[in-house]
Order: sequence, then structure tokens, then C-alpha cells
Amino acid sequence: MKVVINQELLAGTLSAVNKAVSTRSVNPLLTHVKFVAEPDNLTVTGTDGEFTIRRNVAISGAEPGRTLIPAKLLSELTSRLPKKDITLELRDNQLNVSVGRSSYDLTVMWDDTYPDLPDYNEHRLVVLPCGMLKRSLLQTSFSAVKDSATGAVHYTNSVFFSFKDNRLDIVATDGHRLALKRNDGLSANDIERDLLLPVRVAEELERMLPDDEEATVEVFHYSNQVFFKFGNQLLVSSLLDVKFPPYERVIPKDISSKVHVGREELMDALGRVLLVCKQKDQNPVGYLETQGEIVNLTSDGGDYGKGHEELEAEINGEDIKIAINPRYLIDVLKVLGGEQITLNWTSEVSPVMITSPRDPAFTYIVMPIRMD
Amino acid sequence: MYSSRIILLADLDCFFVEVERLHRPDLRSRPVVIGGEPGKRGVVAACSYEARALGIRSAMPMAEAYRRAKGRRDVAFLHHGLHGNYTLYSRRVQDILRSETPAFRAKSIDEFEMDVSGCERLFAGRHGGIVEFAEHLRARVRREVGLKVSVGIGPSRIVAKMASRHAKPDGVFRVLPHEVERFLAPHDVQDVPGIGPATSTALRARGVHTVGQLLELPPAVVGRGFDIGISGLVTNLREGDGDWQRRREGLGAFGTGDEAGTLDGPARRRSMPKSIGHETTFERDIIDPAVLEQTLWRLTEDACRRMREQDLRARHVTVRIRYNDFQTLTHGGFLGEATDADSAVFQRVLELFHEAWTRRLRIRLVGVRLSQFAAGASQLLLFATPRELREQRLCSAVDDIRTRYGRDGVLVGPGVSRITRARPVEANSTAGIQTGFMPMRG
Repeated sequence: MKVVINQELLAGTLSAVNKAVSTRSVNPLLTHVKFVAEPDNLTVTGTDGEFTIRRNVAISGAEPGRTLIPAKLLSELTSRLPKKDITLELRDNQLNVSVGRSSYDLTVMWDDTYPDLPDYNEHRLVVLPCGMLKRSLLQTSFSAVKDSATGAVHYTNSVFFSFKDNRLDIVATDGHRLALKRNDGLSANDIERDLLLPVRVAEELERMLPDDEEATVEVFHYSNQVFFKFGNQLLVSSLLDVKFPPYERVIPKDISSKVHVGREELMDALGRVLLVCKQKDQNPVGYLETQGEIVNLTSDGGDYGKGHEELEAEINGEDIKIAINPRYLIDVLKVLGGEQITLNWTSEVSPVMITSPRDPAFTYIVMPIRMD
Repeated sequence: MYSSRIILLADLDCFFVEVERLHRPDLRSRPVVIGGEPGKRGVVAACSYEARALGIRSAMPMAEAYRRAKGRRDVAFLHHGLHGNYTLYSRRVQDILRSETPAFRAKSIDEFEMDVSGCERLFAGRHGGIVEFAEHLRARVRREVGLKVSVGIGPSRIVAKMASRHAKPDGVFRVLPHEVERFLAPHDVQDVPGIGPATSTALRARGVHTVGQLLELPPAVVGRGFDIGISGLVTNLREGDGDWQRRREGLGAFGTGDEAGTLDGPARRRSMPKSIGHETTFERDIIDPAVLEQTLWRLTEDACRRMREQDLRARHVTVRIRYNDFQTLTHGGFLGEATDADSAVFQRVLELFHEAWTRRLRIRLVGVRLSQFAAGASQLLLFATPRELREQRLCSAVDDIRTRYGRDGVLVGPGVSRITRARPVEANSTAGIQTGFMPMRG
């Protein structure tokens, strides 16, 4: 194998693929990246066994070959090399990496047991616009529980893809709040499929997807894996084998009050009252109460003091009163566009629904905190 | 300002010793020491006033007690008490006290709290006054059960508890609202229920030795630096506490939990603990899995109860084992989803315990510790299953019963069978809430 590749291109490829490479693994193979060279194409693959990223790079005049290279070492070396063309040449068990007067021989290996991807091409589920999927993930994945290094598999560590009736619902929840993005008018032929993607994969996918409205992403589902193919990249993940709860059932139906309030205004005020909440790092409590055309937002920080904010609002329905974790509201206000948002209130112990007139396909639900 | 509350704290004098004496008249007026055998790391569980005169104290190693009693042939050492009977006698006292007072709570097997606020005129008419009423209670217990009881009376629970120490042995001590300040001032800070060794060391480092000095600190200063709720405690000392019947969430939430219910003032402010745990050393090293599991259940129940009192749910649980060769290991794991339910935690505790117990050796100590807390039950859930809701109701009902009737007021599931056998030596068990302020227990 002999490949000549630009330093920036190689560094970029490695840093993307390394997201899937495990740093610590019982299987030492998984700390390596796989290089497969063809005359005009180089395929770089990283995987931790569950999550795989593969990138194709167009090259020219390569000598075909394949090898497994220690991922971290190659990535760190490449990032420190000058911005010129790098030559990678395989000699026995050594990979020679050279640029100008720098020359390194890295010990590499080959092993047929390095996990390979199945032939998925016939199992295409749907083609989606990249921008739409990216936005949907951005608006939902934050609601899931991130620190899933716990070993335990749970639906709160996932982003749920539900294909049904020509639409795709993307949902995430941590058990206390839930974000739902509904994408209608899918050109899929009546597929009905439930896929639970681990949240860290969903977040990586969101970062990798281009913002381009024209670009598309192909989604494949085969066995217990899901494949996202876009541009020269492929992201593959094992699916979580758990059941996602019936999320549609918790969306409130009988709204007794709608409060329209400025999005940024509310977000800034919540950020300030959060500073004087008791247990602000863990279980902060903010109180929202309406009075005429005013929303009163207060917090009681005990020894730290108290906060009070007044916001102008348009209120349709009865006055509302609710105790809520301000952070849950700030999280959603960050990912919503538009000037106004609507708080849909039912009762002190019912979920609060946040909607945006500019983004009717998005729904966010928060459970309140019980007031004694 | 202290309100017009009147709290009675009744404490059975040398409870265990007195129960033994009821059965063995030959023990009367002799020094009596109850505890494990000296060769088996036993400690003194209880001792009579006569034994105390010899320098013997509760929780002292039995070997030390023997040493101090050397040359005294009249000292009686009891190694196997009338276990079951203690609860029975305690119940009989409780029945009397409950029948005489509007609000009653058992703090432990030999300590009972009664709120008789608003009964002044009733008692004045019937008995001549509150102190006379307390004497009436004492006489009834003496006559009907045969036990001596001391009663402390005060306008708050803490004051009543501290007054009961002055009432001993076999007396009544009352602190009137206007006397509270003068009563408290000379006490060492460590005499206050709720101030443990760590807090008192920290207070002494600031030059605060007596309760009087503590109360002189400006309220705004007290809370700083003590995130374990000292400001709530001081407010309590200064102003008295709220109505404890309506403040279940406050019970036993302070300090090590052994001071259950000493701190439920209106101004409790505490930061979230890093962990809540219980552990116990066995009287004899144990290899029987059934006994070990039963002990783990009790420890899990206790830790979960304290977690619920603080409205928390744990994500992580750690099991601690010490083999009889003193090798100590901890094994932790996540709970899948944050939970405050006894059964969910216990299931994980069992898994972890059996994973950790790999050596075929007897076990000396087991412990259960909860950590990585999340918002508790007051943060409502989107998808609570009927089972979770039922479990929640069960736990809160059990908590209520235990608040009123003590730890053994109700037994649940694995705690029922062979309870006396697995019951750990109370004097050896330790409990601690770890906050950011206190150092981690080794």
C-alpha cells in the first residue's frame, strides 16, 4: 500500500473517524483505524464495535493495500506534520509516514477479525434532507441523558426515530422532559419502523451532517444496525434493544391556558433567576405565575437570596402557577427559533407544553415540580 | 421567638438494664453491663448507673469494661439479653404515652416525643400543670410497666431533648420559653443534638465552644461555610421548630440520621449530599447468605429512607464488604434509572454483593451507599408506570409508620424472616451523610 495525501485532508479525516474509535478497549484492534487503499480511493474506518464512522477520500495513483494503524498515534502525528503532501507506505509490519525530511515508521498490523460492515445497500429505508435531520437532532437530543457510560441501556439514553404513516418522529426524553420533532410528508413507502439510536451517536451525527438544504442523507436499516450515508461519509450504529415509552400519550390535550412570551426575554430571565435557586446545580426550582398580562418569575435561593423577574406576555385562558426546573426551559429556548414561544398550561401537576408559532412541528413537554 | 409549643421528651432510664432487672430481681442496685462477649469484639450496649460509676460507658469495648470492673465481684455482665422482650416493654410504654397525649412519636426503642401544645388548661385542670402531668405519666409507666422514665419539657424538640438529660435519673426537668437562652448558653456545642464531631470541630476552629457563643453569631454569618444546615439548626435553637407532625420530610434529615427528628425547623437549607450510606459490623463474622442479604435489605431500606427524606433519587449504589481478614472492597454499579424505591435499589445491591463476594471467607462488615443523586419525587415523572406509583405509595406509607412508631414499627419483605438473628449490634453500626463539607469516611 502506498498513498499520497494532503496533510489537512488526512488530519480532518482522522479526527472525524476517531470519534468512533475507542480509547480504551478490551479488544486492542478497536483502538486502530482501518485503511483500505484502491487506486483512486482511500477508505478510512474507525469503530468501537457498536459505533462506526467511515470516510472515503478521493486520491490518485495509489498502490492498493490495507492495514490497521494505531488511531491515536497516527492522528497526533499527522496533526503535527507540515501542511504538505504526506506519503504513507506499507513495508511489512511498518507504515512509513514521510513528509519532506520527516520520516516515521509506525508498527501496524492486519487482522481479519477487525469488525466489518454487512452489505446494507439493499436495505434502504428512506432518503432525508440533511438540513432537516440535523435540525431535528439538534432540537431533540439535548433532552436525553448523556452520561450513558453507565453500562445500563435505557431509553433515556437514546434518540428515538419512529417512522409511521409517511412521517418521521424524532423524540428524546430524560423522564422529566421530552422533545419531539415531527417531520411530515416523507417519500417513504409506508414504512413502519422504530429505531433507538444511542444519544452520543445522535449527537455525533448532528455534528457531522452538513447544514446544506440540498444535500441528502440515505438511511439504511439492516439487522440491528442503522446506517446514515451522506457525502463521502458513512455513520453506522447498533440500535438499542429497549422499548421507548408511548410518547404521544403524554402530550397534553386539554390546554386551559396559553401564555405567549418573548423567547429571548424569557431565556435571559430564567438564566438570571437560576443563579439564586436552591440546589442550583442539581434540582433548581423556579416559580412561574401569571397576573393579568404579566408573567412573574421568581426563585428562592435560601441563604443566597431571592430573584424576581416580570415579563410582559399575552395570556389566553386562566392564570397559571407552576414550579419548574428553569434549566429545562432554558435548554429548549436555546434550540427554538423565532421571537415568541407559547407555554401551554393545564394544571399545577400536568406537563407544560412549549411550542413555537414559527416551528409548529416541534413540541416540548416538561413535568413540573410538585409544590407543597 | 419561641412559640407556645410544649414538647415532652420521655426517655426510659437505662432501659435495657431495667428490663433485665424486672426479670431478675437479684440484679437490682448492682452494677449491670449488657453487651457482647469480650472475645468477640463486643461493645457495651447498655449499663446501669452503678456501672457508670465505675467508669463504664455505652459503646465501650467489653474487654475494657471488664478491666474497669476488676476486683468488683458484684458487677453483673450479661451477654445474651432478652432481645424480644425489649420491644415488648417499649410498646407497653408507648401505649400508655400515646393514650395520654394528642401527638406522639417514637424516636427509638427508649425515647418518645409528645407534642402537648394547647393542652395547658386541660392538664392544669386535671393534674395541676404540665410538670404534674409529666409526673403522672412517669407514675403510670412505673406502676403499669415497672420502668423508670425521665421527662424533659421544652418549647422545641431540641430543648426538650437537652432538658431530658437534666431530668435523669428518674425526674422531670422543664425549660420555659423565656428560660431557653439562659438554659442553652452554658452547654457545649456538641451537646446539641445534630451537632456531631465534625461540625463541633469546625465550630471550635472558629472559636465557638458553647451554645451561647453560637447564638451570638449574626444569623447571616452562621450559614456560610457550613453547608450541612447549621443555619437551620441555629434558627431552630433561636426560635424553636415548626409543627413536626406536618413536617415529615424534615425528620432525621440532619447529620448522621441517628439524631432522627432533631432538626425540623422551618429554615432547613442544605446542599445536596454526595452520598448517603449505612454500614454495619456483625457481632460474629457471617457466612450465611440469607443473613447477609437480610442485613443488606435493612441497610438499603435505611439509606433509601434518608434519601427520600431529602427528596432525592440515586443513580448509583455501592456495596462494601469487609472479610474477616480485614480485606475491604467496594463494588459499585448504576441503577439504570435514578430511583428512590427500596426494591429497585435492593435488587441491584444483591447483584453487586454477589459479584463482589468472591472469596469463601466469612464477612465482618457490609455497607450500602447511594450516590449520584438526581431530583427526587417532587420532580414529577412523565412516564411513571402503575408499578412505580404503587411502590412510591408503599415507601411513603412505610416511612410514615416508621416516623411514628420507630424503625421496627413495620417490617417489609426480606426484613421479616429471622429478624432477630440478623439484627446488627446497634452500637457498632455507623451511619453517615456525606456532604461536601465532611471528609469521606475511610
